[in-house]
Amino acid sequence: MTIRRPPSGLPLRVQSIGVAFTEPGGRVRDVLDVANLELAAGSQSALCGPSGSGKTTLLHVLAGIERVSRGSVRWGAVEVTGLPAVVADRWRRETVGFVFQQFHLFAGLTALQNVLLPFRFDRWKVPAEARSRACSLLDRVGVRADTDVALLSRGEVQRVAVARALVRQPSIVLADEPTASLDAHAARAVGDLLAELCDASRATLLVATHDGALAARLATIFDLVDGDVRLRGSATSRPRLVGS
Amino acid sequence: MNPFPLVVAELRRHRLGASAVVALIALAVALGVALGAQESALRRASARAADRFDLVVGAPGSPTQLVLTTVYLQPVALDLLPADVLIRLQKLPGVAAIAPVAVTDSYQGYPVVGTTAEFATDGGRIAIAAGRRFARDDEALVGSDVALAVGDHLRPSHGAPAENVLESHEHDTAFTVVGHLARTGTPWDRAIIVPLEGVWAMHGASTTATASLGPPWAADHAGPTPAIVIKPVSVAAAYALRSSLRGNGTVAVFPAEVLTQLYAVLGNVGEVIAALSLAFDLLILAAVLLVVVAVLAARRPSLGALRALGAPPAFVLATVWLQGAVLVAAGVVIGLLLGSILALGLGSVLGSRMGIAIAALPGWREFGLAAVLLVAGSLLAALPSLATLRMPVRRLLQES
Repeated sequence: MTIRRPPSGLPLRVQSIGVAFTEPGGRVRDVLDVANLELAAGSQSALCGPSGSGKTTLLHVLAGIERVSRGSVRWGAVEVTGLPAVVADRWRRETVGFVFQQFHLFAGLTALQNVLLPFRFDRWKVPAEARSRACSLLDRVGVRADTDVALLSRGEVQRVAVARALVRQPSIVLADEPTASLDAHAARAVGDLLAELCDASRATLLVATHDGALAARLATIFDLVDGDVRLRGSATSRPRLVGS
Repeated sequence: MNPFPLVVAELRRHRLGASAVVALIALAVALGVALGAQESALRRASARAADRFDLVVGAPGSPTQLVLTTVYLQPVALDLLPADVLIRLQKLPGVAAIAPVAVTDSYQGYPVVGTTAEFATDGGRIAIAAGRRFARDDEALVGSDVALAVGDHLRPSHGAPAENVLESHEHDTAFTVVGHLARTGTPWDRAIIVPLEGVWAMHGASTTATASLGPPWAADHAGPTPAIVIKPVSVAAAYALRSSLRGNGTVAVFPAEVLTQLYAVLGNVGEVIAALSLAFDLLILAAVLLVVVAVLAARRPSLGALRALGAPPAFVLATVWLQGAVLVAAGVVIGLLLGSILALGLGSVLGSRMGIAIAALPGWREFGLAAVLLVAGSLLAALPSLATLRMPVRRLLQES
């Protein structure tokens, strides 16, 4: 069994999407109203904005987890927002890597088993090639493969999570506040890893973050204001983004 | 997909709680199995003990008492049948064999039973482990559980040890143990069996001493007896004898009739035990379900993360469900094993108190109950995870 090389060079395009949540009590609240956003293939961007501005929701929309009430997200020719749930799960598995603020590694599994977990979703046996890729990723992030993740520091845990996000060679990597639970030193290491590993595999990276230092090292910064996305440093409120 | 590595890791992480849940289920199952097994085993053992007592004839009185005393050697003084009944009965058509049974005396807590050597060995079906049958009226055969050896002498007391001391007295007649019977698993294993003629001689009932033991009895060397066991030549003869021996100074019962009445009571007890243990099991399942719901609520963010990483709902469902199902299955299997051991232990305690060998092993009913519990528990374990999967991934992750 071989790991499919991701078709590189596909941009992620968002067109006039709206997301509304029904709050307890029945009131409908608009969370997102993004007119236009394009992430070029292989680009690296930060998504900034205060808490509750909808950063996580936008990441979920891009990953096909959150349903939109209007508009579309396209990855090349694939309309992510139009995929049936089963297909969306498969698309996400094969195309998107995810990093969370709270890591979400599974204690009791070793670092290697955690990194290999995404292969368990659709395979009984992990292909040997995947295993060696996981080992070299762990080598790269500097964590021993056979350590129980319960024994790792927070910084190490997040580095393992980065390795897990990249093990299936995703075309898109989405990170939701990946450094918010870390000290400055560990945060810098995780930020470096994300940028370098995505660069090496030509994955498109979008990081939702409060961390100014992390945002500054990415080529593009978007601000999420009033549910819409603006390119920082641009005068226009409806930016067309060009990646690095 | 392969959720097992994750399932194993999660169970190991919560091994204390998981063990507690397994122990709880195992205990509930074990209790139900052990108690249920007793009831059916008791039924089998008591029926087996009555096997060789086809038709029991006694003086008018309680048929239940007649059976309890004759078959199970319960020491109660029965009214006596006069000697002429015995003489009359042995000549009746349809009688294949006849054996008076007199439970009148005791020795060191063992009942002393007067009967024929033929009946004591069930026509040779009960082996003699050591020694030989009695051939004289001062010889005795002892059951397997009697602590007397061949060659020992004994002097029976009249009445049972539990009776009023003033009424009991020691006889002058001494018996010599000449044989040890093999184990039968019935109350007769605790009996000291002597020739009926010896009992008569002991009580001065028979006027003439005789050299020959057993049937046929003639008027000059026969005495009264509390009970007579008849082996009929056929089933038809058995029914004919039973009706002809009712009234006119005698009662005749099939021990099975009395046992059926007792089983009717036991049957209700069995149903109550089954219903109680099922209710108990359901209670335990409800507790387990609560635990699953609580654990699941705490694990929601992780489940959300799995979905965000691309896990299909079936993977998440399998992961959560397998954890519950593994615990239920382990509990039921351990409970069955524990219950079987407990059943055997309880059976031997109960059996030795009642003088019958109870081989209490779980039967189909107990296994059926366990299977119902297994299926119900597994299905219930799936419910909370199904409910979780209906929540949007955003909300699962939010609770982090």
